[in-house]
Amino acid sequence: MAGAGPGRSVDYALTLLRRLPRITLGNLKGNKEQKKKHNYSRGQDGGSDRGYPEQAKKGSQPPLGFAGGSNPYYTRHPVEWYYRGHELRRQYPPYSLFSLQRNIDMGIIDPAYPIDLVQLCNTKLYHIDPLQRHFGVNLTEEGMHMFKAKINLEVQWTTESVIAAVERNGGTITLAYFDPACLNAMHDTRSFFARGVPIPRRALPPENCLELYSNPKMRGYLADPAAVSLARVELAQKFGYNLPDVTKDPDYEMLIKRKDPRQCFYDLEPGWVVNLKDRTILKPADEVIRQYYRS
Amino acid sequence: MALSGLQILARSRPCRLRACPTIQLGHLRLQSSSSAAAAPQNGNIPDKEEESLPAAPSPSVTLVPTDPENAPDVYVTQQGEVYDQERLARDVSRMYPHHRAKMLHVGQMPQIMFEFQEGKDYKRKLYARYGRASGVNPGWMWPSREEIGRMTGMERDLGIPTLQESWDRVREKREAQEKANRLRYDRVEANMKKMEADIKAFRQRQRQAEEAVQAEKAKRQKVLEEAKDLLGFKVDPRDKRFQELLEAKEAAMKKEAKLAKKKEKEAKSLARLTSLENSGSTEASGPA
Repeated sequence: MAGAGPGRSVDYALTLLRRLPRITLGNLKGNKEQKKKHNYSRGQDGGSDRGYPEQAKKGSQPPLGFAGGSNPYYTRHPVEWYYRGHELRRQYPPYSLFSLQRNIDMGIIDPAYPIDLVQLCNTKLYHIDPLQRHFGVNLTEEGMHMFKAKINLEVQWTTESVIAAVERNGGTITLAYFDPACLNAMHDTRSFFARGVPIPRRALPPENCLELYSNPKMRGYLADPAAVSLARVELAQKFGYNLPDVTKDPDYEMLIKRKDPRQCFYDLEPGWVVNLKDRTILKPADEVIRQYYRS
Repeated sequence: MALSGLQILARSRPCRLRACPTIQLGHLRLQSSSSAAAAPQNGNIPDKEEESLPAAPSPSVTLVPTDPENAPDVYVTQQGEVYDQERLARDVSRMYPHHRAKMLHVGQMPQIMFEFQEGKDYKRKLYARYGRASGVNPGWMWPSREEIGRMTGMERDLGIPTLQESWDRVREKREAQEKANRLRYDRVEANMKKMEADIKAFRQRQRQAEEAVQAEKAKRQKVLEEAKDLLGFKVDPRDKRFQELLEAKEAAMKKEAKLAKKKEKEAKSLARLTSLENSGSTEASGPA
């Protein structure tokens, strides 16, 4: 056993070492971080002078914005036609069901509360700019097959498939319109409350989208609730899923929570002022003011 | 009072000073001297200030007595800035006092110094930022009755429709569109029914037109041939001789036609006469 002890392994290591290649000048390598030296070409065939610092100093480089080539910019790119009325159309920046599910899974969005534009913008992962005629969120179908959350959702634009994906899991969805003044308050609540002005009264939708926001098939917020429940059943039959009974859900109260057509924040009425410093809500006492915000 | 090394932190102010001579800083109510604020010369300080601040070498800094007897000394520059002993000793930020007060760690209310600070928006922001401690009446948060009247009047002038009005308009528009569509569909359907017959008639018309053209062409060719036979050479249709020939031929044809017409007329009258005769003979022969 003494022969198989540490003495033998030492011998083995030494013989191995003898056979291994030696470090010589021929097999030395530079550091990985070592910067490669740039050899400037010289003479008559010196190549391009663009990268040569001396030439840059002399100012022989092409002017800023020079594109090069014989095909000018305006012929290289396809024509972009004039889109009539584009500056007046309502824009709805997209947000996918995949992102929504991901933010719920990561705990960024709490599905125990109704989810609306305020919640989405408060994640700071979704932004709208009312000055760019953004009128809210367009919930897209991406990731609808893996959507599992049971939520009370309020969006501004969506498709039938998305509605089916949300309702299949026992959730509810509403399509609601907000005017720019309300969106200004909703997309950045902190800045809005820092201005110290009352919560605005939500305006009614314009005529060119009134039918959409009153359509029970699109779960419009102005639609008859009875028609909406009927449309829920119809959609379940169309897509072939079993519609869970919301009335028997333990979160029934949360799932059926809706805003008034004049309301832009849950639990806050138009005309109220929220003070973040004192953590108070100020309500107007004057009947004229109350009437103005109520009507 | 060691003020010999005092550095004047702010020499000039780009903004306009508030006209009010009193300046508020926290709980202290200070009386800034109007003579100091008005003095444009750096070297001349009135005797009154010299008494209260005997060691002040800086011409821009004057000491002003505060209201309470035992309140600490406070220095007011010509520009109206307020320095107390603590700030003189500690503050090296070189910030304007109204800017420094707004910093988070200072957390004081900014002094009311400028005209814009008396505006409604500023008061609202002040209340939003400092809450009840700002001392602003929360009534500033809401529009006044005049403003509400103006806003409702503007909404009335804009003619913002009610929901019911909007609904009616949308429905009318939709119904008009549907009606127009229906009319168009009906028209298309009716036309589709007679399409085959129409196509047949069209082809017939086309064929007739083509035939007419061909007949005209043949007729002209014939005339040309005749002219060639008469003149003995191939004649140009624009030629004078051909034109004369053509006129002569037309005249002959007219004559012929006239003659034929006359003949026909005669034949007609003859026929009538004979028929009358026949009828007369038959009538005469009838009773006979």
